[in-house]
Amino acid sequence: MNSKVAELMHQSEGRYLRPDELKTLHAYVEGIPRRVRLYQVLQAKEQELLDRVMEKFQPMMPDLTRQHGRLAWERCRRDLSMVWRYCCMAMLLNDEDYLRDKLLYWLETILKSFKMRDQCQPAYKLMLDSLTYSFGAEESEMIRPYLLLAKSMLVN
Amino acid sequence: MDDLHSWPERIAEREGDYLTPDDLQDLIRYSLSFQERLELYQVLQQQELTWIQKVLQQQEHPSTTVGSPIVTALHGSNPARGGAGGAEPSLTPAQRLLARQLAFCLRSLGLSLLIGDPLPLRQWTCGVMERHLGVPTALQQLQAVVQGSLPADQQGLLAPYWQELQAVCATSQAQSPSPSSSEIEVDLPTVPPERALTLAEMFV
Repeated sequence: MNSKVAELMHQSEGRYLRPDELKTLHAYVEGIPRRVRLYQVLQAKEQELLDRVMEKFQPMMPDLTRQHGRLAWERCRRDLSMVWRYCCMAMLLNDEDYLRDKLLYWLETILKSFKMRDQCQPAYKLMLDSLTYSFGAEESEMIRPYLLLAKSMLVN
Repeated sequence: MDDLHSWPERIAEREGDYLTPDDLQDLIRYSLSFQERLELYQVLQQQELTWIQKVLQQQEHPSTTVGSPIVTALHGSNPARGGAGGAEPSLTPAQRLLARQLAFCLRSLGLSLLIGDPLPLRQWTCGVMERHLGVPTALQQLQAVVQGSLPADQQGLLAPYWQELQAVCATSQAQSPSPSSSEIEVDLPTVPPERALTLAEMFV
C-alpha cells in the first residue's frame, strides 16, 4: 500500500469509494506485476551495481580511511546499499514519499551533521551513471527518479 | 483461518531490506484478483440495504415495519451517497443505530477486501463493537445473510475478512469490563438478577 492508497483509505472511513477513487486504486494495482518484476531484477543485481560504483569511487577518495577510520569503506557501501534498497521499495510502491519519510530526511541530517555531503556526492553520480551498465532501459528508467531524489536531498 | 497480513506492517518489517519472495507472490496474487475483488465490492455496495433490512427483521422487533426508512438511516452514514439522515418514524433509534453500525462494518469489510489489507477492519470496527453491545450478534446474522446470497467463489474471497471481523469482535468483547468471580459470589445471594434490557431500551 502506498501513501496515496493509505490516504484514500483514511478518507473513505465509513463509506464506499467513489468512482474516481476506484480509478486511482485500479491504476496503482494494475502496475503491481510489472513493478514486482523490475524489483526482482533490481534486487538481483544490487551487488553488481555496488561493486562497479565502489571500484570507481575508491580511487577518487584516497584519504577516506585516514579521515573516517578503517571501516569507512565498509560503511560507505552499507549506506549506498541502504539507499538502493529504499529506492527499490519506493519504486515497488510507486511512492516517493516512502523514500523521503523513511530514509532521506533522516540520512540528510546525518550527512549534514558529519559534513559528508561533498564527499558522498560522486558516489551517487556513479550510481546513476552505472544504471545503464547493470540494467536494461526499463529498469533504469523506473529506478532513476528515486535515485535522483536521493541524490538531490543527500548530496546536492 | 487464513491469516491476513497488513501491508504497512509487512513493509515496516522489511524496512532497509527486500520483501521476501512470498510477500512478492502475495502482492502479485492480490493484483491478479483485483477485478474479482472490485466486482464483489460493488455487489456489497448494491446489496447493503437489502442485507441489513433482513438482519433487522431477524432481530425481531414486531412493532416495527422495516422498510424504506432504513434508506435514510444508511445514507445518513454515507457521505458519498448523500442523504441527510433525520428521524424515521418506523425505525426505533436502536434500529437506526444498529443499521448504521452494520453498514459501517460492511463498508470496512468491503474496503479491506478491495485493498487486500485487514487494516480498515482492525482499526475502525473495534470501536463499534465496544460501544454497541448488540453488534456482534447482528454481525453474525449479517454474515449469514451475505454469505448465503453470494456464489461460492465470492463467498471464498470474502470469508477471511469475515473471520477477521469476528476476531475483532472477540477481542473487543474480551476487553469489555466484566465482574470478577468474587463479585458474583457476593452479589448473587442478595441481589435478584435484573431483567435483561431489550436492544431498543439500551439505546433509547
